[in-house]
Amino acid sequence: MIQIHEVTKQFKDKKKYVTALKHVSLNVQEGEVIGLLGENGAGKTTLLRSISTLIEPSSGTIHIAGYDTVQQSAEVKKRLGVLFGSETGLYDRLTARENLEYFASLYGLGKHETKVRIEKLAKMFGMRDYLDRRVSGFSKGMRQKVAIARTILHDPEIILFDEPTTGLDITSSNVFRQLVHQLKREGKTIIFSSHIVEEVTLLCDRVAMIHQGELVYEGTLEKLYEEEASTDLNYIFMSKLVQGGNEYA
Amino acid sequence: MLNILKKELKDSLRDRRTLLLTVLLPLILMSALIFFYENLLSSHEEETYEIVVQDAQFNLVQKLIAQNENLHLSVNDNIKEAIEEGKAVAGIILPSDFEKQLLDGATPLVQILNDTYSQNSVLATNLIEAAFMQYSQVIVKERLAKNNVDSSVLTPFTLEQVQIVEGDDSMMMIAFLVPLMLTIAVGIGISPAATDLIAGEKERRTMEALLMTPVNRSSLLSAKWLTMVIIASMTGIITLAIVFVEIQFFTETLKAGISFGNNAIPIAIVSLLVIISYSAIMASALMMTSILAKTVKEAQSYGTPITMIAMLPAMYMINVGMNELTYTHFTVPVMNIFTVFKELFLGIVNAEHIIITIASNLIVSLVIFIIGRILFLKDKWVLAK
Repeated sequence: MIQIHEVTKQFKDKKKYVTALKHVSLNVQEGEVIGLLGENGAGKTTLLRSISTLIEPSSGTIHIAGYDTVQQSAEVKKRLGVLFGSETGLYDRLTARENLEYFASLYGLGKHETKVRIEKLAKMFGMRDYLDRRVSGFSKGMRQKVAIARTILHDPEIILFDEPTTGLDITSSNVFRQLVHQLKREGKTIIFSSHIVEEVTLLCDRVAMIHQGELVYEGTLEKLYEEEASTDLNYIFMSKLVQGGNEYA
Repeated sequence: MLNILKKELKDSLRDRRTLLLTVLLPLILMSALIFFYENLLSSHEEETYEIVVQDAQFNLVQKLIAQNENLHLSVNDNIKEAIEEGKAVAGIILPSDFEKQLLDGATPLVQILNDTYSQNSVLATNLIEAAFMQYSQVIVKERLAKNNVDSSVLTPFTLEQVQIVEGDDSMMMIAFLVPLMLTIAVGIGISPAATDLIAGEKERRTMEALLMTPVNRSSLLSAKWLTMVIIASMTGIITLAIVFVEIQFFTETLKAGISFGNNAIPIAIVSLLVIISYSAIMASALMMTSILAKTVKEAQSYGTPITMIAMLPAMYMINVGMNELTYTHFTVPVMNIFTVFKELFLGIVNAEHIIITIASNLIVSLVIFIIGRILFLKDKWVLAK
C-alpha cells in the first residue's frame, strides 16, 4: 500500500543544507498499523510530511496505492487522511460542524454523504453536544476529537497520525486508541509517529525506528523482542539509539 | 473554489477586526473628515470674534470697525494677558496721539496682537486688517484731494481672476479628500482578512490541512484573493456611501459643491468599477505580503506601508490642475484613482480615461497575483517552519 524507496530530504537552512531523511526505505502493507519511533527532530514528521505530499523528497520515491506522491499528488491526497500532532488545524470562528462540512466539500463529498458521515463521527467521538458550537471555546481534547474526525471524514484508505496524543488527557488518549483499533478492524492502513513506546506496543503490528534521519530498525515487535532479548521497548529504543551513535542516550 | 470562497467570507466576516475595519472605521474616519472640512470651508459670517483694546482708544477703534458685525470690541488694559487667557482672540494697540499723527502726515504704528496658532485669531486679524486698510484708503483719498490729485491715479488698471474650470474650492477639496480616504479605508479594511487568510493559516497550521486536500493550490489562492477583493470592495463601497449620505444630509457647504446632474448614475457605476479595480490591486499586493510572511504579525509589518501608499500620489495630485492631466496620470496605479475621481467630481465621465484606469489597475493586479501564485506553489512560502 505504501512504498517508500531511498527517500532523502534536505532542507536549506541559511547557507547550509540539513539532511532530515537519509535514504529511508519502508514498505507498509494494506491494513497494517505501523508505529514510527524516534526522538524529537529524528525525522518522523519529515517522513510523514513527505508521504502526505506536503513536501517533496529531495531524492527517492514514495508510492501510495500505486500513485507517485509527486507526480500524482491529487490521487494520493484522495486516499490519505493526515493529522499533524497537537496542531489541530481548525478554524476557530467556525463551528465544529462547519469545519467538518468545509473539509468534506474540499474532498468532494456530497451533501447527504457529508451529513451522514458527520453524524456518525459525532456519535463515535461523543461530539454531539458541541458540534454546533464555535471551535474557539473548545478544550484541547475537544479540538483534537474534531481534528481526528476531520482526518477520517472522507473515509481514507491510509491514515497518518503525527504524535496524535500529545497534550491529550487520559480519556481523550483512550478514545484515540479505540479509534485506531476500530480503523484497523475496518482494514485501514495506518502510520503513526509517537515517542510514547507503550502506545506503540498497544497499537502497532510493526515499528520503524528513526534516528538522525536514518531508519535504524524496521520489523515486527515480536522479532524485535527476540533480537534484543527483551520485551522492554523503552530499553530497546534506548539501546538502538546508542547503536545509532547518540551520545546522550 | 466557490466552497472555499463561501467559507473564507463567512470566516472573515465573523472576525471582529474585519467588521470593525470594514464598517466602523470608514464611518468614523469619513464622519470626522467630512465635518472637519465642512467647518473649514464654511463661511464664518456668523462667527463673532472678541477683540480687546485699551480704554483710551476704544471710541476710535469702535468707529473704524463699526461696519463689521463679526468683531466685538471690549476694553482691557492688558491686551496680551487678555489674549493669553482666552478672553479675546486679538487685540489692537494704537499710539495715544494716533489721530494727531495722521493729521500731521506722520506714519503711526498700529499693532495687532494675535495668536497665529488659532484659526479664529487669524480670521479676526484679517478682518481688523481689512477695516484698517479701508480707513487707510479714506485717509489717502483725503490727502490726495488736498493736493488736487484724483485718487484714481493709484489704480492704473484692475485685475480680475476668471476660473476656467467648473467647481469651487469645496468641490476641489472633496475631489481630493474622497479618493484619499477611500484608498486608505480600502487598505485598512482589507488588512485583517489579507493577513489572516494566508499568513494566519500558516501560523495556525490550517494551511497544512488545506494543502493535504485534493484542491489544487491555484484554486485555493484564487478563492482567497477573491475574498480579499470582495472585502476590500465592500469597504470602499461603504466608505463612498457614508461620504455621500453625510454630505447630502449633514453638510451645507460641501453639499452645495456637489452637483452631478444627469451623470449621477454613470458616475456611481464608474466609481464602483474603479473601487473594484483598486481593491484588486490592494488584494494582490497584500496577498503577496501575506505569502512572504510567516506570521500574522510579520504580514502586518509588511502590509502597513502598502495600505498607506495612497498618501504619496495624493500629495502629488493635490497640486495638479485638470488641464495638466495626461495619460500617465491615468495609467499609474493608485495615482489614477485620484485623477479619475477628480474628473468624476467635476461631472466629467471620460470613457477613455476610465478604461485606461481600470485596465491599468487590473493588469498590475494580475501581474502581482501571478508572482504570488508562483511563490504559493513553492513549499517554502506556504508551510510554517
